Amino acid sequence: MKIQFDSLNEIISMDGHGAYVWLAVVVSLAILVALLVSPLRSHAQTLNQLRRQLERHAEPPAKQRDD
Amino acid sequence: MAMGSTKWQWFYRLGSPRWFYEISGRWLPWLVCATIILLGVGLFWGLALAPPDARQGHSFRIIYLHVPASLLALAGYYIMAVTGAVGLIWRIKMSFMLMKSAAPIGAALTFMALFTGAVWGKPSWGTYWVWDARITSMLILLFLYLGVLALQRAFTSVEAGYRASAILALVGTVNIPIIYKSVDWWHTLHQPATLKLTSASSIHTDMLEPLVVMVCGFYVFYVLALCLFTRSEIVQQESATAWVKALATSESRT
Repeated sequence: MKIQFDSLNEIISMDGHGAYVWLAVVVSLAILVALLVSPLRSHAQTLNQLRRQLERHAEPPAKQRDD
Repeated sequence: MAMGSTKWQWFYRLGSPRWFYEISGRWLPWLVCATIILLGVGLFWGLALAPPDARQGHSFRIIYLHVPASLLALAGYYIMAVTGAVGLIWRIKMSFMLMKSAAPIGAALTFMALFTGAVWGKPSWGTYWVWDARITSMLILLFLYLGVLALQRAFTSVEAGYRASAILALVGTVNIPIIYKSVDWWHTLHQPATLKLTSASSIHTDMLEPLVVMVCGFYVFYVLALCLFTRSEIVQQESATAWVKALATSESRT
């Protein structure tokens, strides 16, 4: 088993098929990354929202007692 | 009697969102590592080490994304339909949450299969798109996923959205055998299946091995993505429970 290309240019051009192959690779990887980032963001957003909501409903005297 | 209770314990545990949240949290680092390693090795192997195809040249390398994406788009539909059915029959909310999470992943993977297929079609068939049986039935699969996604959001009651989208997912399963058989039933541009369970695959070992790595990588990725979407859904649906509130307040300090 060996690398099928001799230079970086050959890897990029792939005998004229490079544009198709690399377009498929870039778009696929972007979709995969988006599928991980999007649930992580909504997860964090939900918890942040919930935290702010809980802080708003917490009794204000609790803070004043510290002074 | 005692045996019976332990036998069913796992089933009831599976129904607990909190249990799923905690156990999946422990899986995440392993799933991330396995996904990165498998996809990294598979992509390098497939893109650089595998020999070029005698007829298609280097454009065949798109197979390493096209086939795993298509396989998981179909496997993901089974997961969505089965979890939907379990939710409808036993009224298990946890199962509905898995079903809801499977929809966006399945839609994205189906789009990926169609997109990589179109990009592969241009150099090998001379066209990006044909209305052939396999491609058309995959497009219907995309619309089914999008339909399930839309139905989940169409109801003010979360429960009603779960039930309606689960029913659509079940009805849509008739499309799955059509997709599988489309390349055999109709003579079309799309080549017959490369991977076969019952007979030898129509691909050389040097090209097959990286494909197997990529398929494994996509399966692990699927589990990872399903866990992440489901965990997000759990904290949203269970936000009134004490344990999610505790989670929200403890995460603010980190």
